[in-house]
Amino acid sequence: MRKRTKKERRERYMQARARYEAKRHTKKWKNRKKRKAIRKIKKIRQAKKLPTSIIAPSNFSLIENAEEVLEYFKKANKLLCKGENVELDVSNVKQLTPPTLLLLVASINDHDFTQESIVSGNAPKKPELLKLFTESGFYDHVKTNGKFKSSKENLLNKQVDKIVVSEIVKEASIIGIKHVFNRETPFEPLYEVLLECMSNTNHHADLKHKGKCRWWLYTYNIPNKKITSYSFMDLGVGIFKSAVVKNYLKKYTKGTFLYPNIKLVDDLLSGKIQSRIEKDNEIRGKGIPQIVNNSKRREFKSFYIITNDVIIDLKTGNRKQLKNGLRGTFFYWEIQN
Amino acid sequence: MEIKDHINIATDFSDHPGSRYIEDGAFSGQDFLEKILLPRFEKAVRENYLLEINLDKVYGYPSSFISGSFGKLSIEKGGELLLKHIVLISNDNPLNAEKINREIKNPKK
Repeated sequence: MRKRTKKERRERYMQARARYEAKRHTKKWKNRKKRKAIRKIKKIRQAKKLPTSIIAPSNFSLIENAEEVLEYFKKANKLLCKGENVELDVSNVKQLTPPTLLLLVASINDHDFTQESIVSGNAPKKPELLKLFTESGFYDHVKTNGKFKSSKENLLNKQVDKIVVSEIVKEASIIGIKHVFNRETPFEPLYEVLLECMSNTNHHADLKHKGKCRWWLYTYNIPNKKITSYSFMDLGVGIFKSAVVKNYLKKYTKGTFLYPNIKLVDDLLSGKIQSRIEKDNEIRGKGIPQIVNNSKRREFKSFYIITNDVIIDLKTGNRKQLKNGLRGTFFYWEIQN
Repeated sequence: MEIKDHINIATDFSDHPGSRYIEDGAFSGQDFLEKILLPRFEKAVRENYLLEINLDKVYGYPSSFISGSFGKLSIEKGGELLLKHIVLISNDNPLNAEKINREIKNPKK
């Protein structure tokens, strides 16, 4: 290729410069700059506001104390929506569990939860809970002044781009298999459950906000016990909210007192809830039944699903309607030897 | 019929299969179907031999992967033809072969 002369290079530069100058004089450009400046001012004003401190329930366990924990997050979200800054005070909690920790980190990183406001917080005072907090990798996902080292025994993953990352599923499986069974050979039911949880996120994703963080996974080896816990959360709209109900009456009363979500649980567990994704619909709907089926195995010590305003215990089949719902879907289980 | 071709999912594809579609992430059922299973199956049908598929040494077989590969192929080509030309080997966990055979026979919900 012929090398451009100095004059040609200069001409090209001047043309590019002229295009840029013309762009800068457009209304679109000016409005964008104006919006950016307003956003900056708003941010400075927001940062000057004193936060409202809300004290976390003493039993900060999403599974054992779902109602109170979800109410806590709802309260925080309400304040944030009003434009207030919030301080999540977890200093005096007596119990903190891995699923709650995951819900906490996922919420703080979710713009729908924080809006334009600022969320700050502290750490539990109780030494073993503080250890869980620091070693979990929580601080890798929030802004902090301190330096905290996460443990290699645990894994906290966030996924934005891909729906299913089988490498992460494999890695999370191996962490649990090594800790619980003291081996590295596959434990297929665990791998399948993890992967189907991820797959499931696509069905219930918020279709208006593509490209947003899709799911969080926290793998936690319980110290001194041959138990590993898995907490998986997708930030979609929840299974029941996205469920396609063909019956007209059910369709319009779904989620209300006339036809509460709890009535759809059996259909959900047997794969009868139709996916809103139309492609290959006739061969879909086997993921949740596979999760349910695998959860019945002895190696699964416990297994819960929380979605919208329902909590389901897959081991016992018990289900409960919650007053305070969860946006998205939460899976929690423990494996044992 | 003679076995003339072999697929080992763990070594020829992946030991950690993914979900249903290529756009969902790596090692999907669709990926396996299009790159490996379909061309090798079509060749086996054309030349009238058996295709052996080894399912061992894999971390697990999610239903969306099975449905997106074997299920989809069964819908396209018919379960009977698949069962005529495919032999599944699963020494580590015989349930895997059963699971896939069930999907081939009954790919729809």
